[in-house]
Amino acid sequence: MLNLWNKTTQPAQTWSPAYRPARLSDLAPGKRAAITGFDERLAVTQKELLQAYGMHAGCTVLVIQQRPVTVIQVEHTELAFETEIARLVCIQAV
Amino acid sequence: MECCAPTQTISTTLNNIALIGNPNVGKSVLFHRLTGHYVNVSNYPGTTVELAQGTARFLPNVNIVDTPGIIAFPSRTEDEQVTTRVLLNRAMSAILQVGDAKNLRRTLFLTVEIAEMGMPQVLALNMMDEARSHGLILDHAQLAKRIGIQVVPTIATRGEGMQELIFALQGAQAPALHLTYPDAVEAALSAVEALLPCSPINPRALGLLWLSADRAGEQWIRDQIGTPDYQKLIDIRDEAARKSGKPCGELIQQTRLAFVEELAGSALQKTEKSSAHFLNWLGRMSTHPVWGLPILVTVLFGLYEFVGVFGAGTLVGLVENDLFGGIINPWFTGLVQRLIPIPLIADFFVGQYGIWTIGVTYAAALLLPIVFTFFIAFGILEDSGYLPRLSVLSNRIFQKMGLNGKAVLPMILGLGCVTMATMTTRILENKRDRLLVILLLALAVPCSAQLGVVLGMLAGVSLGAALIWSGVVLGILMLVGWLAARLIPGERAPLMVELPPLRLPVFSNVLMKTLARLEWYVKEAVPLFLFGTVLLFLLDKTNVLPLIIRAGEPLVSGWLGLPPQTSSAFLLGFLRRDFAATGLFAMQTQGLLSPAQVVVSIVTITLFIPCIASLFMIVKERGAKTATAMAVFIFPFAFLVGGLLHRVLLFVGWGA
Repeated sequence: MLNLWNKTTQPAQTWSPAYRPARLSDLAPGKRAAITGFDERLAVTQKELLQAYGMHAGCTVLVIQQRPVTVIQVEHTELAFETEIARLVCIQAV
Repeated sequence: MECCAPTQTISTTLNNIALIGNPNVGKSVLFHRLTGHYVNVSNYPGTTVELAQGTARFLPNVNIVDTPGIIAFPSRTEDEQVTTRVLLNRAMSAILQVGDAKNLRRTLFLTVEIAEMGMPQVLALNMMDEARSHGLILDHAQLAKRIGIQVVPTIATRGEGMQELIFALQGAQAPALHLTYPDAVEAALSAVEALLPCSPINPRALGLLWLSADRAGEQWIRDQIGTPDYQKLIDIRDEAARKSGKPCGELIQQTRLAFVEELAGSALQKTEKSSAHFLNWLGRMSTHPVWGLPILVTVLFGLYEFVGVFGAGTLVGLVENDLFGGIINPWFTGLVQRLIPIPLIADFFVGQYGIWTIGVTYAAALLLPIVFTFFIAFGILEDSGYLPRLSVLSNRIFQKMGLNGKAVLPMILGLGCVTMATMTTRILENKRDRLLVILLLALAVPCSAQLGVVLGMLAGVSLGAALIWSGVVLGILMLVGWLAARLIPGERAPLMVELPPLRLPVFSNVLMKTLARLEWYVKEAVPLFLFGTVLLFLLDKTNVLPLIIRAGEPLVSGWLGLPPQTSSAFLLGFLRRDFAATGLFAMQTQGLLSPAQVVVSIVTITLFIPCIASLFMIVKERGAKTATAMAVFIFPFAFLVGGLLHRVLLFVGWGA
């Protein structure tokens, strides 16, 4: 069985503003990254909504564009959100 | 709690089946297939914001309840909370979950949450055609075995899988799914179950809703139990979060995600088939920072040609001038004057402000062709999935007005009919955003009927006049938006929107939607329109109308620098802005207005509240107090801007 998204459900990390891992907003269009957690400044409602759409720690997303807003694909869902939100999503490039 | 035991199979007497699923997965299409009742269907999330019900055609004594889309429990938005409340307030014989086959993990996450509620359940894996086009192979038998429910692959738009779905619903079973959560959650669940009230869903599932802090669930529980028990529930949840170091909702979500991941992995295969095709490419291009703009211009041009040129020009000319002006009105006027000898009553129907002469003629002959073409064009855009993409392109502009790109949807609708657009502000996230957009719609978005007349007037002056008019109106839109965003309390909601795949519009769906909207127009907008005409008639017959016109002359002539007879046009402008624009157009053709007066008069009238029907719609949506405040602001503001523009044009010596 081919695992498409290389997902593992890991507990989400919450980073303090002082430490800055790579962010979703840093990733160039066409690149993939694994979500590692969320910055603690991200509003709870926005974090919950992202997670409900499938953007949780361990999942892989594809960046489609970064301007004028960030557009990503998670599974076969395309989500558009403001760059301010993308700056608060922590990632690891894959 | 024996009283809470769920029904295990569909009974012939218990007959409610709830349609539940993620937004934009085809619930409303399936509802139409199962009941024959049409509800609005579109290719963007949030089309259904209220419940719809209908009797199932092939299941005796079964009532189908279509619910607003929910991404997952806990419910977050007002429309999602409607779904939670339905499950807690109404005993359902079964749940029919509609899921997007190509987004299996999101679908299964909700499946697990529903399965834990313990009601008979069937999963319709919809959009199988799109899943296959992405090269996905789903083992639905494996899913059915693991969850213990029937799983039926469907393509609702084509009616595929409907027979199998009906059979599955007739034999729907309650799943026996039991997930084990971390110790802190399990301990808290045991403690809260003893305090929770009876509900149609499994007590454990109600406990999970509580621990996940579902807002609708919390409110429902609060309404059922006393304050001491409610406080105990809060204490248990807080204590569990303290012990585990994170909210219970997060622990519950992680457990479910792990199960769903393993489940999806066992039932999903991906072939190397490429999913790239023209519509995917076009979808990506339509939000591209460079190529998105030419695509937008093409769409707007098409909209203008179809609604503005064909609808407002060709069709209105045929219906208003040829049919009503040439045939129906002369015949009806003659008939009324012959049959009704009392002049006052005859005038009520066919006089200068008669309900036939103004109300019916303009509603049926002027407005109907325009809204008809607009509804068709808008239906096509809705079905294609293009509209949410405009949110991406316009977000930066709306950001400056304290809004997000979602506001573009009602704004575009407003170019067709501001009254209808006022209703569609319901799709916006919070009350503040809805209020702001309603204000901007009422102030500076011209409807198609008015736009047609205005463009005709400007074409008779110069390109400079068109630039002045559009520059002032757009400037006012931005300025008022910017100021209002700072004055109206509350925070701006950042843009977060799902972009559905671009699809070819389905003809039958566009047709059904157009007819449904026309029915709305006839039932809701036309009566308001007739009421306004009657009001005008009464003002005229009681000699109040000439007084109002005379009282307005100093303002119109002194401040705006327009001829005195413009007063009557502005008064009609309260009824409908396009009436006033038409009156001004007539004055222009008679050579009564200079170029500067044309520009000043149409800027002023554009900034009026669109029509009395839209004012009533604001009352309906936001209350009489807000509507009054808007009217008190907008009318003087329109005259203020018009007067200032008059002085600026005098100063620079333009168009005297």
